[in-house]
Amino acid sequence: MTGAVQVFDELVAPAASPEPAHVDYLSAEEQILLAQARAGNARALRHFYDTHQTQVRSHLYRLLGPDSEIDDLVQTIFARAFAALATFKGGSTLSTWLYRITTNTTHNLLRHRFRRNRVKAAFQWWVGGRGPQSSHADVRDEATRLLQHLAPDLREVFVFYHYEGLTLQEISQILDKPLSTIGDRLTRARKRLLELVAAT
Amino acid sequence: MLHHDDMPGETPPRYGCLECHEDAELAVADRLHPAASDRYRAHLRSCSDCRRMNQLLEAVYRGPDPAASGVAPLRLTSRDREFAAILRRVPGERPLPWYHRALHTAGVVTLATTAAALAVALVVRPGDPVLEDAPLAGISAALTRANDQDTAASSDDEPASVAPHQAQVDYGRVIAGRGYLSARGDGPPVLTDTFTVGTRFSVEPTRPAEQGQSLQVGLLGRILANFEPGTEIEWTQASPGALDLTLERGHIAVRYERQAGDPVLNIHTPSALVRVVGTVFTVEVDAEGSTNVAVLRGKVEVLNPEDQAFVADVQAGYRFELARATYADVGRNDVRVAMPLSDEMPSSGEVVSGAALSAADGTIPTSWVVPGLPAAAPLRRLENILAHPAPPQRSPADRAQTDRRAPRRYTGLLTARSSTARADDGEALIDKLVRDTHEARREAGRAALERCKNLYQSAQTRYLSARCLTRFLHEHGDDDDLVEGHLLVGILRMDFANDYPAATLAFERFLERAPTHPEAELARYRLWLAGIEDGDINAAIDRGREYLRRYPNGKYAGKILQRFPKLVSEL
Repeated sequence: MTGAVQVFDELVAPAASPEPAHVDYLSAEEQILLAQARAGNARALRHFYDTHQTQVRSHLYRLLGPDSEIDDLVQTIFARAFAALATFKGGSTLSTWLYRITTNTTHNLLRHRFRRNRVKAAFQWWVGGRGPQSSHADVRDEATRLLQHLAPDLREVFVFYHYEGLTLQEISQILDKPLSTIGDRLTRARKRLLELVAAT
Repeated sequence: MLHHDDMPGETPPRYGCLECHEDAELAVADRLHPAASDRYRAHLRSCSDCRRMNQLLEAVYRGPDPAASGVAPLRLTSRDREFAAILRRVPGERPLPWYHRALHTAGVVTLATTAAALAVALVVRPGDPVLEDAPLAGISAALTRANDQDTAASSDDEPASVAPHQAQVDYGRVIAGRGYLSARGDGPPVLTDTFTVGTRFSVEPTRPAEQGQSLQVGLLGRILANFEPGTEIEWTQASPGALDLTLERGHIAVRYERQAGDPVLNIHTPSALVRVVGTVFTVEVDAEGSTNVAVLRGKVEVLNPEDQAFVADVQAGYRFELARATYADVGRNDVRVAMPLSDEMPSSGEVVSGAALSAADGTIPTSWVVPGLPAAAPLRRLENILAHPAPPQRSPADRAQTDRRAPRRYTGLLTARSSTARADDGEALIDKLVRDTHEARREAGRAALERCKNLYQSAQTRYLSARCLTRFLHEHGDDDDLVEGHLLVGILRMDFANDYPAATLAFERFLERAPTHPEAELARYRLWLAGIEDGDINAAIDRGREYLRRYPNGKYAGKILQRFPKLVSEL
C-alpha cells in the first residue's frame, strides 16, 4: 500500500499542486486509480471499467427498459468517461460523475423516443381508437411500459430516487439543477405515474 | 369501475375507490398511517380494480430488476470484448461540428505559422515538461497505441489496450526437454530453439521401463507450457488479440500471467474449446479423445468448438471432464504435470535484488487451489495430495530432491587442517592455510555449482535448479571463478518465472563481473531476448546492436538478424 501511495504521489504531484484535490469524495484507492487512469495506464482503465460497468448497465436498463442499444450506450458512456478523465476535478464521487455522463448521454435519446411514442400513440388513437390495452400483460412489463410514458426529465429523477436510491442532493448534483427543481420533478413524476396507473 | 362504497360491515362507508387512489402512493411507499392502511387493505380485498392498480403501482415503484433480466453481470470474455471496443471508440468521441472543422481547415496554416514562429522565438527544448504534461497526453498515447495495434490485429473483438509487440507474438522458445518440432503439415523439422506460428510439437510417448521427457516451451514471454510425453499439439495462430493452440492428444499444463491487453489463449481440442484469460491449468485429451480440464489458479471457460457456445466454467481447484460433464477435485496427476510451472514470479515491487528472488523447490505454490492439501508450506508437496484417480507416481522432481545430498562444505578445509604443513615458520604456515582454505572453498563452490548444473541438465528437474543456484549464489556469489551461477540464475528466472527484470539484473551482473567469460556471448543473447519478451523493444534493439557489434559472426547473430527488421519496423 505504501508503494502504491508513493506511486500516486509521484503521479499526481504536478497536477495537485495548484489546486488541492477533493479528498472527501474519493478514497485513497480511487485517487490512485484515477491518477493512473489519467496517465493512460490500461490496467487502471480496465479496473475503472470493471468497477463501474454494472452500475452503468443497470441504470440504463432501469431508465430505458429492455433495449438493444444498452450495450452500445455503455460503450459510449465509458468512452466519454475515459476521454474526460483529465478534466474530472474530484468534486464528486466517481459514481456520481458517471451518472452525470450517463444522463447527458441518454437525455436526448429519451426525449427523442418520448416524442416518437407520443406521435405513435396519437396516430393509433386516430386510426383505430383506443384499442385493448395490455391488461393481460405481465405486471412487470406493464410497469416498464408505464415508465416510458413519463417525460424524460421526470423519469430521470424518479429512477435516480426510487431505483438507484440517491438522495435529492445527489440528484441535484448529477443533473446540475436546484434542489427545489428536483423535488418538484419528483412530485410531478409520482403524480403522473399514479394517473397513468389509475388510467390503465 | 366497481363501487363498493355502500357495502355494509366491510369497510367504513366513506372509504371508496377515490380515497384508495389518493392513498395508493403512500401505501406503496409504506408511509400511510396504520389506521388508514387497514382501511386501504380492506378496500383492496373487495375491489379487483384497485387491487390491480395497487399491484401495478408496486411494480412501478419496485422497478425493473436488471439481474433477473440477464443484463448483469457480464462474463469475463464479454467484458474483455466490450473494454476493447470502448478503447477503440475513445478518440472518435465528440466529433467536431462542421463549423469547427471549417474554421480548423481555414486557420490551420495561420496557426502553424504562428506556432513555428513562437517555437523559434522561445527556443522550446524537446524535453520540456510543460509540453509533456498536457492533459490527456498519456491516455491519448496509450489509446492511440491500442487502436493502432488493434487495427493490425486480425481478430477485431479481443482486447488490445496494451497489446504485445508483434515481435513477441510471432516467436516462441523451447525452454527445456525433448520433442520433435516441425513446420505445419509435415513440413521440415525445426532445428533451433526458437519457433514460429505453425509449429507442430510431438513429444515422444513414455516407453515401459523408461522415464519419458516432457517438453517445456515459452510463448509471448508470459505463457509457460509443459507438454507431457505422448502429446501432439500445434501452435495454429498468433495475433495481438488471440493465440491458438490445437491439442490433438496428450496432457499439457499452462501458466499464463495475462495482463490487460494480452491476447486470449484458446486451446482447441477435438471436443472442446478452452478459453483462457490468465491462470494455471492443465488440459488433457485422453485415449478416447475426450477433454479434461483442471484449473489450479484462476478460471477457465470451456466452449463448444463449433459454435463457441458456453459449456462450463472451471474454477480453481476443480477438474472438469467433458465426456461426463462432471466436476471433480483436481488430482495429483494434474498437479504433477503443472509442477514445472510452479516457479511463479512474485508480485510486482517485490523483486529488488537477486538475493530476494524466490525459486521453485518442489513446493506447490500457495496460490494454487488443491483441495485437501494443507496450507502449511512444508506440507504442500505432491505426495500429500489425497485423492487421485490415477496410481501415484513418483515424479523425477521428487527423486532429484531425495537424491540431493546436504552440501559438504569446507571438507577441503578440514583436510587441509588435518594434513601436516611443513613450514619453516608460522607465517608460511598461515599463508598455506589461507591458500588451502581459499582452494577448499572454491572446490566446495565448484561442487555446489556442479550439483546445480546436474539439476539443470534434466528437463524434469531444471525448474528446481533455481533454488539450488540461489543458495549457491548466497554462499559463493562473490567468487569470480564461479560467476557462471549468475548466468544460470538469469536463464532460469527468465524461462520458468517469466521474471525478466530479475533475469536482466542477473545477466548484467554476470557480464559486469566476467565480460570475457566464454559464456558472455550467451549472456548478451539472453539479455536481448529478455528485452523482447518483456516488451521493452527499445532496449532489445540496443542490446541486439551491442551483440552484433561484439560478435558479428556469433552463434546467435542469425537469430537476432532474423527478428531485427520486425523489431525496428514496428517501433
